Amino acid sequence: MKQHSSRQKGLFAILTALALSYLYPWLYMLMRSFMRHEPGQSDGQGLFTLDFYRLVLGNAGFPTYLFNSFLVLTVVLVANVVFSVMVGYAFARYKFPFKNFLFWMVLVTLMVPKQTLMIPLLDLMVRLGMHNTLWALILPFCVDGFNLFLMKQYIQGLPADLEDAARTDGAGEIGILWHVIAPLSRPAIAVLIINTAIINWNSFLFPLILTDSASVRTLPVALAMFSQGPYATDWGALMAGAAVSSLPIIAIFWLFQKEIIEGITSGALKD
Amino acid sequence: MIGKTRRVGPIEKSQQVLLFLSPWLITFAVFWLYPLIFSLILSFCDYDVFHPALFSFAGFKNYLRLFSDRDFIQSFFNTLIFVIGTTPVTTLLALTLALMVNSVTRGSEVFRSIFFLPSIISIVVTATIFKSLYSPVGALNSLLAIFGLPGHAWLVEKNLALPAIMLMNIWAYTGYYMVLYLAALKAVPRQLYEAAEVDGASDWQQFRYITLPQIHYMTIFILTVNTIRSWQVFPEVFTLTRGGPVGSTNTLVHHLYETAFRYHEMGYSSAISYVLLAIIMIFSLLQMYVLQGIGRKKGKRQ
Amino acid sequence: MYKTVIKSILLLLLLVPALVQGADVELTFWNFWDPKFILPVIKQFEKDNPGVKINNEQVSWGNGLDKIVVAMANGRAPDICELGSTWMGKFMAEGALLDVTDKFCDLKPDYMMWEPATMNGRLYGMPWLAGTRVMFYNRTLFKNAGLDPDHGPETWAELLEAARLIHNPEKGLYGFGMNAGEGHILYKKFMPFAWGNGGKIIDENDAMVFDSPLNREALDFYLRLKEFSYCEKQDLLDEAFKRGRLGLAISGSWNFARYPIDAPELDFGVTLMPKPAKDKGFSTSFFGGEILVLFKSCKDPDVAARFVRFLTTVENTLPITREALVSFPAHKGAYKDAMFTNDPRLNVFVEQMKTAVHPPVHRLWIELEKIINNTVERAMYGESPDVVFADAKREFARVAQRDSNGAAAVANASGSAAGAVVSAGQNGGSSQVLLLTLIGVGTLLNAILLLFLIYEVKKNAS
Repeated sequence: MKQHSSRQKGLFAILTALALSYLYPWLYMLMRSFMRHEPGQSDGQGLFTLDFYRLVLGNAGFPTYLFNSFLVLTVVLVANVVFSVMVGYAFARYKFPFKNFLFWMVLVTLMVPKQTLMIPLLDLMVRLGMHNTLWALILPFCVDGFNLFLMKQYIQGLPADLEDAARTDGAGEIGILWHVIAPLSRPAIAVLIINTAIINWNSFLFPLILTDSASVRTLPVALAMFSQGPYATDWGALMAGAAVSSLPIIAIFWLFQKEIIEGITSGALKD
Repeated sequence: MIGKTRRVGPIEKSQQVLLFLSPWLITFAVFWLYPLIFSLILSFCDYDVFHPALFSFAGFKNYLRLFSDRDFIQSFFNTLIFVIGTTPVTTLLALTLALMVNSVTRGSEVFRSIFFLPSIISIVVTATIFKSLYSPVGALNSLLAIFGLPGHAWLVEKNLALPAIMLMNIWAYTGYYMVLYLAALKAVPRQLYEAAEVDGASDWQQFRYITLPQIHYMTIFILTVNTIRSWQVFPEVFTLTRGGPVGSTNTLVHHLYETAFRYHEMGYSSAISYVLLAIIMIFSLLQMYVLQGIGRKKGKRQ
Repeated sequence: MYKTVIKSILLLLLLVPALVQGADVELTFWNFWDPKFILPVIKQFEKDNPGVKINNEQVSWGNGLDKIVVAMANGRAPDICELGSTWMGKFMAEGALLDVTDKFCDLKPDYMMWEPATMNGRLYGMPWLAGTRVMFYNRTLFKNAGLDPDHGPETWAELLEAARLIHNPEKGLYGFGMNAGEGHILYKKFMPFAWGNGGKIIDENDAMVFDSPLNREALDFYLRLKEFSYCEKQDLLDEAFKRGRLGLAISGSWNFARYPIDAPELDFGVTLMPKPAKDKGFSTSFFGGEILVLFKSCKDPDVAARFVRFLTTVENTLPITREALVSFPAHKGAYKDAMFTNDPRLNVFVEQMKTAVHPPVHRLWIELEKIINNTVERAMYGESPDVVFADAKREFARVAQRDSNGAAAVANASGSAAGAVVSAGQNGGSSQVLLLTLIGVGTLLNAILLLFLIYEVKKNAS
């Protein structure tokens, strides 16, 4: 038992050291967003100021950008959760023609550099009449290849006995999906939510290309606009903007990380 | 896996499959197929954005040009180094962190969150922070000075810039993959360990013969996704170095980006893009082949 | 239940693009500035011109060019657009811009920076904002090093000497701030030395003369200066200067907006760029700015030109200059404003602009820029100047060859519809496009199926 606790102490010490190195850039970001520098001063010295936050939050368009980002994120999140479980289940458990081909197409969407698709995707959106609307930022991203891949892998790793048991009890396929697979996949769904939130919330390239007007602008594009000058970056504003815009993702992570850890242990798998 | 209990008829089943697959099929057909084919055709054409109405078929000219393009060759090797240097390290580190966070009794929730924090901010902001961290008067050099080590201008010295970006990339993504591993670790049924303990298996044996095979599907996922992302490294390079100094951090996506948007050679840029796609595909195929092989072997031994 | 329905309908409505108001003429204007500068001007213009609507859309500095290029490729270029003056050579040569000679040429006496908007004697844009770089120096560090804080260096030798005296890396002090690790802007920093020495990039006969002895001399000096330099990126150089770590740095007026607020204690001076020697060469710097252009697809060139004329007036341009201090009005009348006459430091910029040089307005400037940057950067990283200059010449020959091939192809394509040339109009493709599409799909499918087959076979074999 004694050996065990000394091992715990060692672990704790290593983790603390690592955690500090992971925390440092964050502290640096917060510091830069709150402080001005005097000549000759090094990092960590300076005058406290809220000016950068005022600059970011006081921007006339800020509520619009925030609302747009939230709206896009909410729709994309809900769609991804529902669709990824459905499609992932199909890929994981069924046999159907062209299955491997279709799955490779999922991977191709991850593998092809996004920069190459910018011109044709804008062309497509213009033809569909979605250019410069929030639809262009929502519809193509409702089913994400990464999430499909994740769900497929996860569901494949689940034991099949529960499904078979449900089938014996006469449950339909949709019933199995929602009453057996979805609850069992809660940790993966939590990962999926966090992942989608990060990617969508920080998404820059496609919103930049697919929208023009300030009324449909999202937060990352707006932040890039007022922290980048023609020749210089406004560090304080960039850091304050980054700090503000990371808050919702931190909230989502805190909400769902418990799912990742606790979901499965309290689930039916133990039986 | 599919026992004799599956009583669904073939027709009904194919309808179910189609229903379940339809979100993906529709999205792919509407939003992906056209851009993919469009850019593939472009890669066989001379296409100048200034004259979008005129593009001429160029055969394999764009693909042949790759062989004589020194920037392409350099960026290929830079990217290869990047992939080989970051993917295994990130994955191993993520697994190690996950195991450590999983078994520490005090503050595991706090550690989990701290390690995950970097993946929350957009990589552009992370890169901006690292730009000042890596400057000659930045924090990294101050830290090295404490240990009496000489400082460097990390992003300015030719041989250090790429490793510096790789280090940042590892830092930024480890926490993310750690959380994926944590989710997988939690799904390993506890009885397996209990049974092993009764058999007197050591920690290493438990890890080797229970944990690793049980989370193998996640390893496949993480390695595949991580490899794909590493091959496409771009925002880091664009923010930190724009391929410099002297091309030492030029990566394939950065090269194709410059070709397209700075030099306006869309056809050539698409060709680079499809070569990259082919490289990633071959890499992923090999990876999956090897990993699944390992998985089966492990399964047998178990 | 019906509440949810109403809510979702409201949500859907929000997704619909802003409803287009009825206006006789509606023009889109893309620019890089905070809308607070532009919107009041538009409002006034719309009031003076009933029936006209201008849609202002801001583009970010980091990705502005991408966005313009993508829009252009999709035939969605804006009616009026702000372009960096160094992009003009390419855009003009490719015929993307509307000839506006008769719309603006009467303004020539009042404005500067016409050179980058002119090609073959025709005018393709209206100068809006102009800027240059000068030498910044830290007066405190000058005093501490025993140098005269009231006079910055006037010659190359004085610059080198000042940098040498101040340079003390152990104490965290550096003589000169030299751009490194960001090759794409090196030409702005190096060419002033070359131009001041009489060097050129392209001569009158369109031949590349970048490898001249004069430029070689400038590069040799630049490399000597590197010994006493802090090598970093522009924003980190500005930052280091702000913190009093740099003796000298070439930078722009944007620092005037930040230094007094961020570092009120910083005692700095600005001076003209040094010339090669007291009796040799001249003081010069990089000159460039923002040009307003009308794309060929502009819906109403007359109204657009009227708007451009209105926007570029002194009273509509000065607010931008005042706040960000990045660029100055291209209108010469602006310099009578108290803002310039009362500020000796800003006057240094005005003075420098008179001798500053705009990079060649050349159809291949973007490629030339890369060649110059590569040359300087490779030399900075230790390669022999002989080798890098020779490579520059060779690389330009290659680029020019490719360019003439491309130009021939374009001429051929527009001349005849024969051969393999496909004309894919903006409003749909021809049958050949369809054919190409099918070939493309076929190739893609085949390649993937092949890979898949190999994969399956191997899987079964193992």
